[in-house]
Amino acid sequence: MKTVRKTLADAAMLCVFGATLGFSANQLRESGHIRPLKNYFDKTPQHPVPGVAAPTTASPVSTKGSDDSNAGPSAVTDAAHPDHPYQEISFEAVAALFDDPVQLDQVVFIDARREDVYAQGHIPGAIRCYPYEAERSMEKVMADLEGADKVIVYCGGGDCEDSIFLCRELIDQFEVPYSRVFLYAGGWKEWTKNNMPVE
Amino acid sequence: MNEKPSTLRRLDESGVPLLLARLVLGGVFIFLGAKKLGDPVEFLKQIRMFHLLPEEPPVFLNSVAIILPWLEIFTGSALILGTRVRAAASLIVLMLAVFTPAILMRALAIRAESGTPFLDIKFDCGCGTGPVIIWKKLLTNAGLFALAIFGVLSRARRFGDPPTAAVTPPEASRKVKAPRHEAAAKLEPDRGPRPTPVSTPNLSTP
Repeated sequence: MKTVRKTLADAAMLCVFGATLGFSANQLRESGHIRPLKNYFDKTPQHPVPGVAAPTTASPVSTKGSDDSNAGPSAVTDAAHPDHPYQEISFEAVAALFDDPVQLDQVVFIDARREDVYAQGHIPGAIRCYPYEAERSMEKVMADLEGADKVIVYCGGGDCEDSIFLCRELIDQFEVPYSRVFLYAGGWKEWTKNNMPVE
Repeated sequence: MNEKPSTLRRLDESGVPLLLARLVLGGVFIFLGAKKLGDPVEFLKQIRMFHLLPEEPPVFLNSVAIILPWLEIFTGSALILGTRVRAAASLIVLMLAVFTPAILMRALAIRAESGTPFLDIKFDCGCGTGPVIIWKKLLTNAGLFALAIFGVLSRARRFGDPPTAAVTPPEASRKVKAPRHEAAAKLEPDRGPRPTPVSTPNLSTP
């Protein structure tokens, strides 16, 4: 019995040491800092831009209702996605924008993947912003977003969700109007599969 | 007449198997903890995929991602240094007992969803080693689990935790030396039989 008590006491001590050092080291980290109280996996924006109704996951806004006149019906998918509230943009629409130099000037691509993956290749001109460390890229992203009509966010494609979380960050933290944020769900996988240019 | 201890018991009491188990287990957990510390956000994303903890409130999930790598490093270090061995091994047993079934469940879910043969299933389990073939990971975890259980149950404390105050020096000395000096022990009537499992817990009690 004494052994059990001692083992439990020692285990508790190891846990306390681990927790103390873990939280301390986390506070000191510049890269990879985790905020204990932040929900990184929330897909719905909490603080939408005033005047723009924020949709909820339960009742996604139809992309047809976008107030962006440049988007056009062919630029976005017709069906609202059940898993997130953002307007999706199809590969065809992204490719059309990419091939049109005039429209491309008004578009900013944001890559939501990890730095090492981004470094291996990304859509030409895309800036990187990892949704879990969005604050670190805020200055650069804000400068690039000035005057942009469309902000196209992508990640790896498939079941990757980082682009969804970045859409939320753009609206919540960077105060980008909801109507300008487009989610390219096909992402890097679809882009390379169609032999599009990479950088 | 005293029962002669089994070969396995004598081997255990020599302290060598426990020392090897501690070094392997400690080394593996320090390595895995350090790898997780290299990219805590990725670790956070991976443990979320197991659905072991609720996403709301986020403090539980985030705290696990913050603490667990350090806990692995601490337990691994304790094992290698030979201090708090039983507690460190118990914590490793607990961690493996939680995450190994979770990995299995996720693999089964992937198999049910995609139809991929179980032996071909590969994903990043958040273990710190990137995407891995899951049956190999499960096998490795089973081995680590066995080593950790051995660390908890082993009676040997040689090369590790010193005899505690509850044990008098002659008893502690006899405990260590007895297996190697069987014949000499028999010649000394005051020494009696080797400590039974009932008396073992006192040896590591302060």
